[in-house]
Amino acid sequence: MRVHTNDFKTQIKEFGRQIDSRITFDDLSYIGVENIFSVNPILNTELLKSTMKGLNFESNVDIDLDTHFKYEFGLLINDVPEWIDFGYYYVTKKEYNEDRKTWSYTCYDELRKSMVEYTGLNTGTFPMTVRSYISDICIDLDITFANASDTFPNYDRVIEKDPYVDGDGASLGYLYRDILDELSAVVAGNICMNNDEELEIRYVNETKSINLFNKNTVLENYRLSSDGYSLYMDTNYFLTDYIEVLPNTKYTGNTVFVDLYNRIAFYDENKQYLSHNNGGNVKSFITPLNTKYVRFAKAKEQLNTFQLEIGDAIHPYEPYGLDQIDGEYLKDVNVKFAQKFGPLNTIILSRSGESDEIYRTYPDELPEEDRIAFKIIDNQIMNGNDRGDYCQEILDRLKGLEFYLNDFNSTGVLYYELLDLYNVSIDEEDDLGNITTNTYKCLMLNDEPTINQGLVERIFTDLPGKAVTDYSNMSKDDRMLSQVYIIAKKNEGEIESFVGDMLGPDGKFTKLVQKVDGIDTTVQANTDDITIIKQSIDGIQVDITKKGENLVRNTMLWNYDGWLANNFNPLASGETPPAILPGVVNVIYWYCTQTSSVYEAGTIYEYDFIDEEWKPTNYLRKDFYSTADSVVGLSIVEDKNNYLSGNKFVLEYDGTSTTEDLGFFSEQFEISPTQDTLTFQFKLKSTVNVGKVAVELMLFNDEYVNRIDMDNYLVGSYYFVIDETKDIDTYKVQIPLNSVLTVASGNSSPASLSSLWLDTSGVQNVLKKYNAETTSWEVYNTPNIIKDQNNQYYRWTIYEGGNFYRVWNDSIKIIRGQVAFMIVNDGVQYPNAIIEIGDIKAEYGAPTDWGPRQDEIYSITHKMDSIGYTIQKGENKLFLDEDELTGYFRNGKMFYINKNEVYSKVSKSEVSNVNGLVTKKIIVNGNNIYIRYIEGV
Amino acid sequence: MFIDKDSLSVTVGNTTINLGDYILDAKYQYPKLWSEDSGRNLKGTMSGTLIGIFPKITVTFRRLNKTELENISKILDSTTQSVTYYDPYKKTYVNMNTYTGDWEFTNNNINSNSTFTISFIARSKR
Repeated sequence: MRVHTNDFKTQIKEFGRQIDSRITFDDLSYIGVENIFSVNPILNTELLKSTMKGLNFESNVDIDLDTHFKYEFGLLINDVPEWIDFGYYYVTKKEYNEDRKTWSYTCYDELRKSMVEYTGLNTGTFPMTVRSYISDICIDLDITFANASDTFPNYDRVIEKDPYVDGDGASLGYLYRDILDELSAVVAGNICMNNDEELEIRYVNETKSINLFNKNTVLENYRLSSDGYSLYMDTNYFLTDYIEVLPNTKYTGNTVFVDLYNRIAFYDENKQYLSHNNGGNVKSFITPLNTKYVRFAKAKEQLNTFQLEIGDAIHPYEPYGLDQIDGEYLKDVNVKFAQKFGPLNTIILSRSGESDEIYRTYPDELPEEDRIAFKIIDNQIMNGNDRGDYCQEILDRLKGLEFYLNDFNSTGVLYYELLDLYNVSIDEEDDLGNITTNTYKCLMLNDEPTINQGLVERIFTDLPGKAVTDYSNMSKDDRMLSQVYIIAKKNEGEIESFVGDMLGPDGKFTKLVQKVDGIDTTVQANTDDITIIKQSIDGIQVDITKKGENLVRNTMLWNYDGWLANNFNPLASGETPPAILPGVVNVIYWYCTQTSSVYEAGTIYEYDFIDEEWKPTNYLRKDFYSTADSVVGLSIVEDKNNYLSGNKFVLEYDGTSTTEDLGFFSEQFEISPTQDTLTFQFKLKSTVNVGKVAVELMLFNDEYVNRIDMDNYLVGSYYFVIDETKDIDTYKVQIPLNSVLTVASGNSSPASLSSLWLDTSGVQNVLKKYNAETTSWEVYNTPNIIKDQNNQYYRWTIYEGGNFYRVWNDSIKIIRGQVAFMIVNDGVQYPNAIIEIGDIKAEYGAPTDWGPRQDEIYSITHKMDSIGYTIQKGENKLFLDEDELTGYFRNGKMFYINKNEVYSKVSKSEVSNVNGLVTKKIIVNGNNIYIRYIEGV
Repeated sequence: MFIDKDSLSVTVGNTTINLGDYILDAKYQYPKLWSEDSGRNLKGTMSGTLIGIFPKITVTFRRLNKTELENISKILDSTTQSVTYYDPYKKTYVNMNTYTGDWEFTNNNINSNSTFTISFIARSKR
């Protein structure tokens, strides 16, 4: 409320009131009603908008444009005007009325400074908080921000980048005022100028009645004792609650304070008793210094009529609560009080043309039919996926707001300001002719007083926000299980659509961003696996980031008759030959990457153990990869009985009797010493029912470098043994990597309670473990612990189902892993069999769906990894790396290019035969090569 | 009101005339001027803005001779005047800016002027 006295409130409605007006300029000169013919202050706004106040006036005084002045309305009270401050304005427009010899002025408050184009902040950088953003806008506008140190809804939320300029920081045509409009919604208030010309966030203000006595909070049957603070039971009285007052100020009741019976007690801000006044049979009292509250008793019959006011005058009775005006303040025309809005319990944030909306309710789970909502549409700041957080704080501020829509003409009130909540009490006649007094709570949003020789004031409030009835397509929050949204970023000229899981931008999602110059699509499985396709008029750009977590790669088959002919060791690659370890008998191949006096780059050399030197071969790198490829890759092995397809590896045995083992190894992979858990899994289907099929994960210490002598360095292994027909099933185990098993042996329990104790005191040694609950050493049966000949302890466990064996030496640290697959014949010949194995994966932590290794990308038709690119369609395939280009047609190698050599199985040629003379023309690079010969010779 | 012989005077420019020397009587009126917003409010109570009280002093000049008429004609023909009178509400002399209506007199014989009446009306509220 504008500052005014209770006398003003009474006198403004009185017949014969006398009014005044005053416009004061910066030099303190002023013009009054002698020169002012009419004044029209204007307040027209909506809830949660920036609000610029206007003022039109007509005067016979010529005032310059941009003149700064203050307007005050005066009401004569006891021949002295009481001035009501309407704040400061600038003359923005003027027109001369030739007929009346006067000037008509259009004026606005200082918020008019915001009516300029926003080209980005002059001060401050993003990201910044909402409060900082408002502060920096105020700096730009040279306006003081009154709430710069205050907390208010969403004040500390961070705005990552300037939403009102484009990606290059160029203007999008917004005005500062547009931004203040949207910021008003963000902070759940109305941004406006206060009478001190500071930019203020104005919130709904519950005005106070002139009556300070609340009859609903009295303590009945009590009054104050003679000590001034103790309660004295007396059924004739009620005792007021603590009434907040100002210190050293006079207050007056509408009945006298009967001496002793109505004594008044004064309390400090902590409601601690200070002193008291016995009443003295007068209506007024003055509060002592430091007084914050008063209490007193009154006779019960005064409960509904007693009134306490500030000052020394008493005015007509008003109930405690909101400031209230009645029919005496209203004209007898245009009095409309329509439907009630509220209590507000739902905030909706809408974007993308209201197609994408979220909401918050109070209480949290509010039935749809009970929701009364306020909708905020297309707010650029609350356009991201954290808008649910914004929404909650807005709701927290506005929940419970209720008021009646209204439109009425008043004889003049003038002291209500923006967002004041007040009551209008009027007598109304129902259909039966009964007159009842109805009270309507009103919110000040639109005010149009006309002040000339007289005063009338039109006040109205429309329905705020937008009516909402359909929640079926809304989600409560963007962070629901499924994120699905479309954002129209008008300022950036783009539409973003998104479908993702609840993990948000770090999770799994697909996103499409449509701009005027093109379309970007993103498919992300996680932050490591992302495919981005950017399509523009210039073409298509594909960016793929695939960081698979699979540790297994390059599984290598090892030979056995009837299964597979190829048998290669991993191919070494480097500028110089790899070291050959003593005792290693396997064939070693080396791909030379740098030409020297001895070796040629691009050639694959084979180590000759007899001559003990590296000799060049005709192998291509692809030849190795064809058999040493990952079991989970997309490739075709040239052997008819063995092939890799999709994510599985199928071995089809042709029935030839054999007792040889079959198996494969993967490349060894390093295991990080910082990891705690390794997960190993694969899928397998087998028709083998004689003998055993096993998949093994072997774990080695760091001394192991070659599989030949693996037993010496094997730390442990995990077997999954399949000895019967199995359908495709997933085998999975999580392995603790750094556990250490210590076993103390002796006749008495060890000092360390964390180790195991091999109790040797009895007839038979018993392994025991300390039980902290019973504080005793108890027999420890699971897992079984065995002791080997080297005096090392192992665990040996058979898990349920009998398919998994684990052998483990806990005292040795694991640093390498290798996957092996084998058929263990146990001396039995193999029958016909089909074994499918795929999706082999070793990874750290908990198991996840199969994925490739880092930098490997697979699809149905192509594979990209460290080896090269393979494109495949049906039986045709093209392989490309930095020094090879190989083409296959119907699984047959048709050509390859390696170094400077070109091989072609078939070349196009034209053939003619003239009288037995055959001429062949071979076209190579546009040149014709002719070969002529005589047919049959 | 007249509280002595100098209780009513009028000034135009540098000329001040004590009207007590020329008039037979003076009628003091205090008309109330109401705003157009006046009317009954929703409760049926009369409501309205009092623009102000605009004092009006009507004086009747005695039969004036030629010289006297010449003296006051300057006053009466002027657009506005400054009238000083004793105001019983304010209990003091009040100076108000006034305007007047048309003035006229009748000659029945040579140099025989009739009495006439003229009102000095306040331009601003008291």
